[in-house]
Amino acid sequence: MGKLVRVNMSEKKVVVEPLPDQCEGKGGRWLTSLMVSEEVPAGCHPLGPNNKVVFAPGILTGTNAPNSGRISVGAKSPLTGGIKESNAGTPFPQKLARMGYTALVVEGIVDDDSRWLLKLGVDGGELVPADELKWKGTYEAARMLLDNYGEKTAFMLIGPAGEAKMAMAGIAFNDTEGRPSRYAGRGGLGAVLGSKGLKAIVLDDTGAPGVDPVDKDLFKEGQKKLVDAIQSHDVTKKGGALNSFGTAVLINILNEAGGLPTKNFRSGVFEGAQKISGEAIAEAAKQRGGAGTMGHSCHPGCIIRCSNVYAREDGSEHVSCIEYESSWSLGANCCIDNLDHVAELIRICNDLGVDTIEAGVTLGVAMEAGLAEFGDGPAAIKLLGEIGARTPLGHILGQGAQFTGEAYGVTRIPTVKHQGMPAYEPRAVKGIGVTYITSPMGADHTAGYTIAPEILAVGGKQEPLSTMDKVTLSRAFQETTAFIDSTGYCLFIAFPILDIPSGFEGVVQTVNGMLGTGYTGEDVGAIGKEILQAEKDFNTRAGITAAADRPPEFMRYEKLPPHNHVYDISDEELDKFWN
Amino acid sequence: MTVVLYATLGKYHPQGKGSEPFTLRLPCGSTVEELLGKLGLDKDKAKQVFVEYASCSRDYILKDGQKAAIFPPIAGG
Ligand code: SF4
Repeated sequence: MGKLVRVNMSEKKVVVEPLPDQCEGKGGRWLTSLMVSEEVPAGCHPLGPNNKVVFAPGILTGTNAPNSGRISVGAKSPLTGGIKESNAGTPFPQKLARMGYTALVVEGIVDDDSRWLLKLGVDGGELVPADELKWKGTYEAARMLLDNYGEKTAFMLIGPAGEAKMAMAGIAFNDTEGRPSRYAGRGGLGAVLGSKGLKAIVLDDTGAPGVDPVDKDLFKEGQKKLVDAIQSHDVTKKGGALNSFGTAVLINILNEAGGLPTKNFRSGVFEGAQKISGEAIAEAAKQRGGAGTMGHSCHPGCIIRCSNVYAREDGSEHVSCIEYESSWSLGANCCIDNLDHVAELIRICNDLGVDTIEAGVTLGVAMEAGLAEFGDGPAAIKLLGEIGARTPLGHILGQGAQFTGEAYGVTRIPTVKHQGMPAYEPRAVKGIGVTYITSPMGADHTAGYTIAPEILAVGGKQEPLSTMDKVTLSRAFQETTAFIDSTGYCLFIAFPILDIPSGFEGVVQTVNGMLGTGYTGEDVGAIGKEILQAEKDFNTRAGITAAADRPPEFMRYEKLPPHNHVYDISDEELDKFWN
Repeated sequence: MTVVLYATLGKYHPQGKGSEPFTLRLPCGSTVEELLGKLGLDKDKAKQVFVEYASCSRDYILKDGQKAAIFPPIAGG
């Protein structure tokens, strides 16, 4: 039986309980969304005493299934006002799961300005005062934790933006070398922990019992099938595109498809795209040498290794990692084509503890408002500095793109449910627009990555500009994704399993081997549907209605070059998503 | 016409310049298939070719002055 840790910030108490029956056999997003739905009053203030933050490793996290080191974090979001699940790949949940913990819930709230650190061991945990970490950037705070608790310590941290309760604040976890660089970034969950006064968690896994599949043979069989699929698929194999160029390999293809949002979503083509692409990052790693690395992994057991370390001209480490989303949001979206400026913007985001997507979309809106010129990297760096200095402007920016746009009277605000849109233009790629618009998470590409068939020709091929059957396509992706987000698998296993049926079988077999269940391929969609429905119901109770399942109005009337399309999937069609 | 070879295809650049655009002379009316043949790229290597901001088929007839962007199988997120 699994264990549940409850951390009460009002009473400063840490209690370990047996996992409730209805939580058994669940993990990741399934568990966070279920627990948030059951335990958090939908109408509560996200930063008040009644919100809770639920952490859950995936069902397979802690095993040696490939790429299975993800953790989901759930709560009511201060950014969207709805339910949120945000996940990250890090060694942290691998340790948490091996220590026997299926979920960790942070509830209550501090009644003063104190900061706390949770020390969790196999037999329980304690909250210790951590005012020495107050307002510390994540890099300095991480160093202090590693010095105090050992270089191998797994940790979670929030940055100053979370402590200041800003809605773009994320949650940082350690990577394989102790950098605070793996983010459950989206939806302002860092602010919820900030409101609770919990600055950090450290794990001591001494004596951890480990994780054992119920049916080891079945687990192994599934594991082998999945490993084979990952290692044989062109995009995920060693030396393949993801491994050699990282996720930013997408910059050029989206640009060539006219779907790379540029200049705050005014165009689908960015002239400087090549300079901020995965190819440019790999070239810099080769030319500059030193710390620059491609093919880096976010947690042990990843066999794709899409992460990177970017070096300065002198070879010293600048930041890890430059992902597609960050390179786009802080690059193309702001017309910044200098990779060193982009790297610095990412480093600052990581240090402040903010979501790089929301930060970049907010900077785009701020540039639209005239707070800086598009393309001016140093001015963008200065604007992020306002967040760090917690000036009144910094507090406006820190609330995200919607709030900033409203504060400055901007009409081109690329958000859904107040969450900034990621790096794919809905007017050029219609299916991903359905995902942004209908996902209970707000605009989130990972919720239903129709880019695979629409742009990458993975898992079939769909015409990106066509509106035909895109609601059905997005629904199928969203359901499967909700399941994958529950397993602990990195979403990038979806590429091989979309094309290689035995890889998909391997996923189901590893889950069945782990739990002793008899799930079939069809159950994957059914479970995903159940998760989505629970999230949707929470949002309905929180007052988020169908009226929020809409694109930003400007996308209905402003034609996007070069295709000159508006977003033309009708409201009626969008409403069919939930039928 | 102008050709760009992205990601792992950069190694097929005739002057060894990776993903830098280069000019290639093709007979009038050449198809995408013929372009790939001339570059020595088979179907497995060149997954998609984009011309005029759209992925086009192998029998698409190329016109003078266009740019062909050639991609291997790629993905990300
Ligand atoms: S493929 Fe990338 S994101 Fe996925 S587990 Fe590996 S390093 Fe992490």
